[in-house]
Amino acid sequence: MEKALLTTEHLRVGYGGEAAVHDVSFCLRAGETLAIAGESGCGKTTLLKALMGVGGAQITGGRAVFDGNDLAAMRPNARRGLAGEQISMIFQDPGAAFNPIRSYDSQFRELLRSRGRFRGAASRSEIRRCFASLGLSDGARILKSCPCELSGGMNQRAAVAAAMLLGPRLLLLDEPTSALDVTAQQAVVEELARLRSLTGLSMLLVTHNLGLAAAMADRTGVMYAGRLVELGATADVLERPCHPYTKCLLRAVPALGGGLPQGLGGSPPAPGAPARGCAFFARCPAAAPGCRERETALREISPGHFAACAEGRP
Amino acid sequence: MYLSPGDPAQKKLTAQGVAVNAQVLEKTREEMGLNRPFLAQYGSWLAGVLRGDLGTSFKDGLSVAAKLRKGVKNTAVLALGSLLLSLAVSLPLGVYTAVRQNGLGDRLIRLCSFAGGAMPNFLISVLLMYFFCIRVKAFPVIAKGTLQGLFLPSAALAIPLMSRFTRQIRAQVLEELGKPYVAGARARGVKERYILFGSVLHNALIPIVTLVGLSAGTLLGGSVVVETIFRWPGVGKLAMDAITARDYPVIQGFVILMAVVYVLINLLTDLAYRRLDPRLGRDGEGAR
Amino acid sequence: MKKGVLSSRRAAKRRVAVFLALALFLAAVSLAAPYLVPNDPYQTNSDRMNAPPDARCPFGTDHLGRCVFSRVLMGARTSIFSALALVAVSFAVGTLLGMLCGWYGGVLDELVMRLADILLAFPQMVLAIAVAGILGGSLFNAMLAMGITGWTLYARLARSAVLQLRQEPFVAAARLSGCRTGAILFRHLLPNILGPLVVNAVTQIGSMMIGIAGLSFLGIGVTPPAAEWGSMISEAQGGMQLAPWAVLAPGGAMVVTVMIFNELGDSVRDLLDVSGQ
Repeated sequence: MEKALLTTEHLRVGYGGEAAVHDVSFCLRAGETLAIAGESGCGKTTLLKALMGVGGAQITGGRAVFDGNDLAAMRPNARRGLAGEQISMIFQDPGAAFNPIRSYDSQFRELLRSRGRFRGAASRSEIRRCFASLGLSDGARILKSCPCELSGGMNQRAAVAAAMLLGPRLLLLDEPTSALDVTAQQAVVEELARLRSLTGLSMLLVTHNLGLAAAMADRTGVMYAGRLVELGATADVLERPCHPYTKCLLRAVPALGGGLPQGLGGSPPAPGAPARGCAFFARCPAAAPGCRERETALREISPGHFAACAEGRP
Repeated sequence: MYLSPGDPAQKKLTAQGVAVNAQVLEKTREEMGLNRPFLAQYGSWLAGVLRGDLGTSFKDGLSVAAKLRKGVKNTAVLALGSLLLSLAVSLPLGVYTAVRQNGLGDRLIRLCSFAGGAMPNFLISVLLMYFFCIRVKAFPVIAKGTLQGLFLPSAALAIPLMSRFTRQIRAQVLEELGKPYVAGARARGVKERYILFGSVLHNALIPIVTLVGLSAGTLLGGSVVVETIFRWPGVGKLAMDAITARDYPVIQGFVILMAVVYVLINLLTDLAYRRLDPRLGRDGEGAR
Repeated sequence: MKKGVLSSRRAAKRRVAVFLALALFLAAVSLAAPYLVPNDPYQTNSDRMNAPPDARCPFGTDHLGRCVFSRVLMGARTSIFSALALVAVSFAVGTLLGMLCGWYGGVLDELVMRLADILLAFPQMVLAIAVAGILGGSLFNAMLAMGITGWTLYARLARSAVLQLRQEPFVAAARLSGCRTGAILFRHLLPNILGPLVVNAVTQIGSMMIGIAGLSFLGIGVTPPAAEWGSMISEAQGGMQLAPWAVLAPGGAMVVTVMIFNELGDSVRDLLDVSGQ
């Protein structure tokens, strides 16, 4: 049994006064890819930012343990030391994560220089080696250019290279393909898969695209209004969903050769609104009168497959 | 100015120690051209200005342009010194308060800068003079054109500027630190110091150039007060002396000079801003 | 990311309320100054010159034996109200001119804007010093000198705001319904452009105060024996070794007052920013 690389227990996350994530517990093993799916606004991006320690998102309750270290209890310097070397992050907008008017080359070298590794010619060869070993093509061209000159797909490729430059063990990905066109999306997915097989990387992937989860993740979790409502092996969750919300999400995906997608009416509750009982009650097609006050902890429905509510079971 | 009390001819004679009676007064007025109709006087002065001739001082008969030229150099030195001093202090303070936002140091510095911005320059000058010339005797009371004499008047002019600059720099750096590329660099593992000195400062300080240009008004106006208090031999002190002596040509020359300088500086600032701005294109317009 | 917009609006309102209360308190105290002074501010006392603070004169006496505290109080009246009056008049004149220029355009617009341009070619304090210096020392001249350039700010703001709003449908509707021009300008346009104008006005109070005090300091504003902070500092400057309180008291009063008005201006600006979101 592989040791867990990242464990969260009843994690609460927020910005300053407002909580965006109320209760998330999962366990990510080394070499595994976990996808968390959900609508915009459910708090998944905030979750990643808090784990990474950027963007003002803070862990306000519960625990997040990375490789035996409690992230919230770490001193800021030590926590910042984790960035890049142990945990790295890919953002939704690849170009925005870089200074748009400086060449990639100079920004990569800045990264190596600041970490005291490599200077001058040695760092250049290190960067080129990184690109090559990750199987990322067009390395030379990317390095010479500025983010504002390249396409989304190229920028995402550069972002992946930069994230991997210091050899982290965990990669956090925030909607890595949402800003890209379909061809670029496929290229990124392939590159990430190659990355995984080459380096044994663990990935925590956040997306609203269930197809991406299906293609990349070993396990998938579904998030709604700051809580995990379902968690299990990807095949289990996508083919045998338990929670009504998961079922709705799946119904909303257009199927080739199949019927039109069925949307879900209403909108998710505003972030920060502390929901007691079931947060999905207002929009749930399977809602029964007693559901509003229902307890919503994850329960094991079948081995390895957890859900907060089994009413949606087909 | 022809509405004002106080006859320049009378003042001139008195300053020269000549006894004033109606005859002498009338003769002097005729010499100085004061008995011509107002429009004629103004017209000939204006024509003179366009020719580059600013007239002659009422007080001592020297050419106004010559007097101004002597003082301009000193005032320029003072202005430059103040600017450099204020930038030297406000740059590190501004960056520090942005990086350590809401810390104790930040709050303290912001309070001080707020107080400093509320103090009139004459008060600052008087206090500085008291503490450093009389109590501590570190600097000469009458500032001659030396470096040591330059420090206090520069400090007096610099303090209000410092408060404005520090707050602006802080705001710019904070804005820059909030941009996504900073979060991206942090997530990649770039050390904080490198992010700050590499990209953030560079981007944040570009608008500061225009800040400097906009301070021209404060510097030019404030120089009158500061030069008078510290007896720094610049055009400001010259103007104040001229006002006391009702030396109209000098006053007029001074105002024209200041206006020309002010307009020039504003023009340069405009040009600088327009040149720096479109070159940046930093709204992340990447080809998708 | 929606933070608590509502709570920051409430905080901004509270801040405005606090500083408005402080400013009004200052104004009230200075208005009542003649009744609050413990001693006659103009009474000289040759046997109590440069006396340190004591029970009778809380801030000591100046080089002529006058009670500094009383003079500071009277000076407050001069400084605060002259600044308020000056800003009020500049605001009114500038806004009116600006609105008329924006509405009618044409020759009036050209003339007024050219005049403003010419006036703005001079650094404000330089022009004020020259004008006050030539006209001679008096409170009115000092206010005039500062106000000569002060109105241009409001005129420009008002003019551009009116130019923008002129195209709006609600103006056309008002016209069609038979509204007279005056009514359109004052009942429909003015409320909409007031925001930034008021912010600028409040922010200007502090600098006007400093400007008038500066002119008085130089001797071309309020002249002794009238009590005014700037001239008090100028008078006491020479004897500072003997009687520092004669400089520190008016100086301190000035700094505190300007700080309060500046903070008021800042908080009004923040309030309008927040509600503009």
